[in-house]
Amino acid sequence: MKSLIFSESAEIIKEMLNFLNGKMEADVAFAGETSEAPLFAAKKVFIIDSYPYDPQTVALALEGIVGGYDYFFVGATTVGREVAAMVSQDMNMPMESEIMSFGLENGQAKVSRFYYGGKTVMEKITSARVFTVMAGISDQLVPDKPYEQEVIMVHVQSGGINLISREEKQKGSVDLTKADIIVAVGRGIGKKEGLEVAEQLASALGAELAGSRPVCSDLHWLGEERQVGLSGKRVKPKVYIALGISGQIQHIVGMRDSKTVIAINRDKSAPIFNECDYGLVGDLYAIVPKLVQAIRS
Amino acid sequence: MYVTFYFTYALVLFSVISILYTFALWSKRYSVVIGINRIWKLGVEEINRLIRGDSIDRMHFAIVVGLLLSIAFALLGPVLDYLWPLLYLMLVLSLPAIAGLLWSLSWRLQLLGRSDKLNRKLGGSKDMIFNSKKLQIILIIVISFTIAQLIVEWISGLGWLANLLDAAKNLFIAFYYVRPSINLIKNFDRPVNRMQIPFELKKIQSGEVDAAQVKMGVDKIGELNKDTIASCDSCVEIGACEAACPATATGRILSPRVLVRKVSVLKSSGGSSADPFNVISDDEVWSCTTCGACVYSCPVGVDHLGLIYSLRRTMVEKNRLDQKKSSLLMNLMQGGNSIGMPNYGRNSWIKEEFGISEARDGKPFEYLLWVGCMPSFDERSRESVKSLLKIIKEAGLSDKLAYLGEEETCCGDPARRLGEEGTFQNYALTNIEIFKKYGVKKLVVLCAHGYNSFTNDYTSIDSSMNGIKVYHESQLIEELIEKGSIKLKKVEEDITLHDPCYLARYNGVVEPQRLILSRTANLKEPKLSGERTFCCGAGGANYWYDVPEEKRISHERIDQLSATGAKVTVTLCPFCNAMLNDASSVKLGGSMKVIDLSQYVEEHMNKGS
Repeated sequence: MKSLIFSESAEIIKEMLNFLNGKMEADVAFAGETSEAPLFAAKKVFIIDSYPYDPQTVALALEGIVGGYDYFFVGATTVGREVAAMVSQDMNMPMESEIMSFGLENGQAKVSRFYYGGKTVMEKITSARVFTVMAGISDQLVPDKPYEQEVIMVHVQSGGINLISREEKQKGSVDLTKADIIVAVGRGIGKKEGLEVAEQLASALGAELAGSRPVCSDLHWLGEERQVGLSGKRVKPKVYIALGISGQIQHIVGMRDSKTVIAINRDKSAPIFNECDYGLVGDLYAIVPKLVQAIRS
Repeated sequence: MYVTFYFTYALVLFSVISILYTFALWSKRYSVVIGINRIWKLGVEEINRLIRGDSIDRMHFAIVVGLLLSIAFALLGPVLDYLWPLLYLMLVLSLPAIAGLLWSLSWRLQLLGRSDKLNRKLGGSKDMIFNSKKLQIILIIVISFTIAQLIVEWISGLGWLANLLDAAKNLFIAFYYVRPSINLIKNFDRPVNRMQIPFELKKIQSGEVDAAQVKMGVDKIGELNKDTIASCDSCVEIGACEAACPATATGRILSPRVLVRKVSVLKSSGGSSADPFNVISDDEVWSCTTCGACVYSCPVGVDHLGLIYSLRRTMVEKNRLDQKKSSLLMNLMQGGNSIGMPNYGRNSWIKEEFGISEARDGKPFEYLLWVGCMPSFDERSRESVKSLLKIIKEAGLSDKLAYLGEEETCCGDPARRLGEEGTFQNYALTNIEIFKKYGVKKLVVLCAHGYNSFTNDYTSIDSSMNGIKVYHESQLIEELIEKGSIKLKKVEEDITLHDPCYLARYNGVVEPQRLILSRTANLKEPKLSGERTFCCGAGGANYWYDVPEEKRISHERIDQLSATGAKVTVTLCPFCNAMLNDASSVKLGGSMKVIDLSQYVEEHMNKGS
């Protein structure tokens, strides 16, 4: 049994080499943007001479190689997923996506993957020969000494897409979905100056500031990129502090996956109190400054 | 003198024959049969609109009467002196017509500048802007000539001048206003809720229709439904739609007038193969809340919504959706509801708190309560269900009621309005099967969108739905009051009422809520109410996404409601309620209490009587 591993990321290739280590022999195909081949623990390394902006080109290149292998593993990145699907289609090799384990049983592949939106894990004996592998499930396998290997350059014709220029992603935009702590304000803060109180709490905690739909879309006190809810972002921080948020479903949907929810609201019948782990009924202008003081000291 | 008169009279005859000829030509092209019966019905509708309508309806009526009178004057000219009683009657009738025409003229002159500004703001092409002005000036000329002619009719000896004015105006009519008239004759009684259905999922599933042949959107103008194209070509820049449109009123980048005119002008310059999105931006189409005010108010029966849905389906088909819209579709496709919550255990609290059984429990029931997405998951909205259940309990109907529990999903309305027809029909077919399974005869809904879906959208998909009586909560409550099953207390309180578009304008349900509320309090009607209600801003899936705007539609509406002086607004749809609740707290510091009809009734009900 022989397999080929492909990714446009050297790190992911190293992960997959570890993923397959001891299970079968693996060669590597790499299409990254680099001047020299990274060091892989593989006997054969194909370097595809095209940076994978165009998955079609990369897929065509791989299709010339993959025939000699029993299995083909691809890192589940945006590019990888596309390449795998194209190879699967063109070479008529069945595919299984996003696998997290791989084994051989009676000469057949046995894989596991998440199922039902991640609530369960499915194990499956499969006749698939192309697999995309979830990223980050194995450590990288790095050879400690130079590895004796054959490096083969694969030249391909440029496909339909050419790189014209590159632009850095705009900085300064927040990504609430990655925040660990979020301080969110609702229209219950009453006045725009109330934002300062929330900002103080956020800076004391190293948190990101967010808002409900009325605050972001109606009042424009915060930018739309900070809106949490049905028509905003879905967030899942470790701690979510809701200030003056009543808890319309529009908002709840966006934050209900948070680990710990703390709510401060004057209205004790506010629905947010059904969604929180800790609830304080009271004036946030009295409570929050004390909280900030306590955190700072 | 006689020579001049009869020469000009010949011109009149020629112009009238031109009108009749173009009428025949276009009615054939649009395959519209113009019978006496149809014209009679249209006349009744026009008088109806004169009585119940707004100022634009009245201006429209004055123009129509003025035109008919002026043509009658000219045609009967040679014999009118002998028919003097008719002459005097016509002269008397011409007075209010002249007044109405003058009023229309002044409105049109104001509009000329305003619409030009809007045309530019909304990216109208040079061609479109020129044509817009041209059509508006022609309308102004026609109105002015008619006024002049009707005045000249009062002066004897100037018959030749009246004839000239009439003939000139008639030629304009033949050229520009026959098509809109035919469109009106065809469409005046088409309900706002009528939708063109691009494909039938049932037929695709059964293999009757080849899925590969199905097209959801349009790449070219020529692919639009021919009624839609006829609609666009029938627009003569009256501006009634624009005046009624909540999106235009709040500075969104949409005017229904500009939208249909852009398509029509593009078609005449670029042909049927031009892509409508060459002249229309995505957000222009997303700005619509599908409230139907444009279609409802158009004096010539233009179906702006047909165009908007076609364009939305195109964007959905091409996946030109931002994260908000696509996550709504994701929720609908994966989660079974529009809110994105797990459907598991949906509404289980109804059984726990009220002891009402689920349909699958097997107990016979008379009414099936469709709770709806919003009340199923939103805490505040849930209160309205609780109130309705208390009313039903008070009326002794709890045993006759059941609900679906986890079998309840979405009615599909947001999907259809967003342009995802397949998902809508999928929901519809599934729900219809469920209703059949339990032999549902009566359905109770709290939401205006569910009401419209079940009564109109579903019946067009499966005729078995005609056998189900759908009650909006207002209709059920009114029936219970009529029967004496519940009794209300009268309080001295000023309240106002917000009619949902999908209930009032789409379905004409305007009475029950008024009967109920005028029994309990002093009902203060907002300026735009009943079938002429103003949108809350949530319709057409707008609850789930945002578009650029100068003012929130909900803020505009809460201002209108607040102008009644009342401090309580009663709503009849959970989405209106959520929008106006937010608007009240943001705009009015919460001084306007926004409450659902069921809650208001429950608060004012004599309990345990």
